[in-house]
This record gives sequence, structure tokens and C-alpha cells, in this order.
Amino acid sequence: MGKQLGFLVDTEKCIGCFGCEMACKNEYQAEVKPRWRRVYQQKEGNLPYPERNFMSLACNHCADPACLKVCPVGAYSKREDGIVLHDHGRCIGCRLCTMACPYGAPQYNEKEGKVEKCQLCYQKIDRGEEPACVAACPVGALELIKDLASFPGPGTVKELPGFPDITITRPSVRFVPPRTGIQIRRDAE
Amino acid sequence: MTNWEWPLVFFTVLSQMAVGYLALVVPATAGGKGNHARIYLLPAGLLAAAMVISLAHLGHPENAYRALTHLGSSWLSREVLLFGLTFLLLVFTILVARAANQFLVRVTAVLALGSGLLGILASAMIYVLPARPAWNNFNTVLTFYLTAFLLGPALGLFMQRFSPGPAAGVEGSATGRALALLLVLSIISSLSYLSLLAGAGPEARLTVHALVASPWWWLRVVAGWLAPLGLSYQLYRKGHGSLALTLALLILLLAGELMGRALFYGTAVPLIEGLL
Repeated sequence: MGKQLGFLVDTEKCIGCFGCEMACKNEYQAEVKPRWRRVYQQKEGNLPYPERNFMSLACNHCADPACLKVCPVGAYSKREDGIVLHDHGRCIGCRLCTMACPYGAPQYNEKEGKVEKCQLCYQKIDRGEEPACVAACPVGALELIKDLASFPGPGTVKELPGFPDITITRPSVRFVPPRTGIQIRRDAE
Repeated sequence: MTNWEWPLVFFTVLSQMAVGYLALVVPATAGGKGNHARIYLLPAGLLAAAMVISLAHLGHPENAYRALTHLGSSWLSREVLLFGLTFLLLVFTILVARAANQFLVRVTAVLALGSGLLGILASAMIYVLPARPAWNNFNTVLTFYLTAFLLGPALGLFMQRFSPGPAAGVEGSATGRALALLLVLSIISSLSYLSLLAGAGPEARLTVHALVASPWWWLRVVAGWLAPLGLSYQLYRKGHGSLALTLALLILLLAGELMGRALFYGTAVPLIEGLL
């Protein structure tokens, strides 16, 4: 295995505009569902201080992907650069990967009877371009990590409260955590 | 309770019942008594029906054959292989039974049973997933085998009353006692399972809340455990049961296991719930 691509999600910069989600949708699908990239609002109860921030997540192109292991038709593969690809043509729509992925990345498309997920815009990557979501973020809250092994760690964390256990699949994502005590407004109960 | 997964509910329960029935009739007919072709038609038919029903779960059932191509790491591939093999062995058993080759009948029936028992293990291992805390424990394997060993004897007992002869070794008192003990084990293991989940993470606790809040759970307790327990005890005391009693026992156990399996699929809260 060579390098491992990944995402850096800066929760300090993210303003929850959903621009990354829309850019992904514009690039690949017209339907409302599924949503390959999703912006989650952090649950206030997950943090020890009042805060309102967001976490933009898609497939984490894990080092040890559960989807790849459980798929009965071998529709998943991992490229040399770490991107986990899903072969749409091979999928039979058994949905086992949707159950096995801790992050809900593979999603079932009812209309097509198949699962689909973020492919990290591998065609763009191969052309030396940025993924659609990264290019679209207006505040630079989403970045592509070119090689996770040489990515500088200070100031970033591997998980945030509410994020599923990272030891299961070793997701290729890093976060800039929110700073303590900046309250924008409280969530409605 | 959003994903009841009915095709999977019927597939897993019926395939387990077929293997449980095999576990009863293979040793009972080892001596060479009975019409073997007739005996093995029932589990073969049940397994075939279960596999056809399972196709309804797929988005593209026409490509289901591809599920055999990832045996190296996918338990689902292994399940398809093992149940497919069990079915083929049963068909072969029926064919050699018609040719009156008793030795081959015994060999292929035992192989079918072994393959079926491994198939249940593969079925259970599909769901032992860290992403679903409610499934990621030994209870999944135990529950799947308990379904087989409850429904198989109940079906055998009913068949013995309905059409005496095929499974001559099925004896009412012993089967009643075995069913009662298995039901007690099922109740105790389910209570242990609930306490295990209650002491685990937030997603597991949500599963406990969903289970005990569901009227289907309580119906399963009464119709799938307590009522069959009473009937099994009656069967044990009497030594033999009427056709009506064995039919009632089979229907109650089947309904209970179907409800239990629907709850298994419908109440497993994924880890991603922590973000939603």
C-alpha cells in the first residue's frame, strides 16, 4: 500500500452552509437521496460546553474498510492511493455494506436497487484536481490530505464526540476540533 | 422500528427450521428405517423456499449468483455456498434414496446436516458487526441456533402426528422435555442479552428501549415463549401429543421466532446514531 488520501474537516471554520453536500450532488446525482456527503450538526450534549458546530462527512476511505470485507460480490476495491471504490455495475443491492459501515457511507438507492457512495472524485484526483466538495467549500473548512502518513498531527484529532469508534475501520479523516466556549446560539430543544 | 427486513426474517427462520428438522431426522433415520426420499423432501423444500424468498431482499436478484464470488472474507458468500450445498446434497439424498442405496443416503444426509449447521453459523456471523452493537455479540449466534433447534423438533413432532412414519425416532415425551429446556435457555439468554445491552453503549441501550417498548416484543414473550413452554411441558407429562397440540406448538414457536427475528433486524441501532 502506498499513500493514503484522506479528508481534513475543520469544525472551527465550517459554518454549516451545506455547500459541500450540494457540490457533491451537483457533480453526481440529481435525486434527493442518497447523500454521499452529509453535514451533521454536532449534538450539544456531546460536548462539555455550549457550542454549535458542524461535521461534514462522506466515505472515510478507511484503512481497513468493513464494506470491502463483507461485500459478497467483491464490488469494493482499494486503490494504491487509499481510495475505496465501489463498482456500481457489480453491486446486487444486498445492502450488507450499509449495515457494516460504522459511518453510514454506503447508501441504498431505492430507484436503482444498488448501493452507492463517495468515490473521492477519483477521476478528478487522477487529473490533479480537487474533489468537488473540497473545491466548493467557501470557507476552506474541507481539505484533501494528500498522504495521511506524513500529515502533521498538531492541532488535529482523529475523532470528535459522537463520531463512531475509529478502531473498527481506521477512517482516513482528521478533524480540527472546535475551540472551547464559543457560543453562537443554543439549539432549540 | 423501520427496517423489518421481512425477506431476511423468513429466509433465516425457514432455513434454520429446515436444518433443525434435519438435525432431528438424520440421527433418527440412521438405522435405515422409513421412506428417505419422502423424509428429505420437506427440508429440501423448506430450504428452497427460504432461498427463493431471500432473493426479494436484493435490489438485483437476477445477479444473485455473484454472491459466491467473495468467499475469502464475506460471510454472506459463505452462507450462500453452504446453504446451496445443503440443498444440492438433499436433492442428491432424495435421488439415491429412490435408487435404494442406503449407505449413500446416510453419507449425503450427514453431509447435508453438517453443511446446514455451518450455514447457520455463516448466517449468524454476517450480523456480528461492530457497527451494530446489538448484533455484535455471541447472542446472535446462539439465537440463530436456538431457532433451528426449537423449530426443527416442533416440525418433526407435528409431521410424526400428521403423517406417521417418516421420522419414527421422534418421541413425544423426550421432544417435549427438550423443547421446554431449550425454551428456558432461550428466555434466560434473552434476559442476559438485554442486561448486556443495557450496560453497554448508548446505541445498545436504545435497542433495549426499542425492544421493551414494542408490543411485538411482549407478544413474542407470551406467544413465542410462555405459551409454547406450557404446551411442551404438557407434551412431556403426557408422553404423546394430539395433532392439534403439536400443530399449536409449531405455530406458536414459528410465530414467536418470526417476531423475534423481525425485532432483531428492526431494533439494531447503528453507531452512526451518535451523530444524528
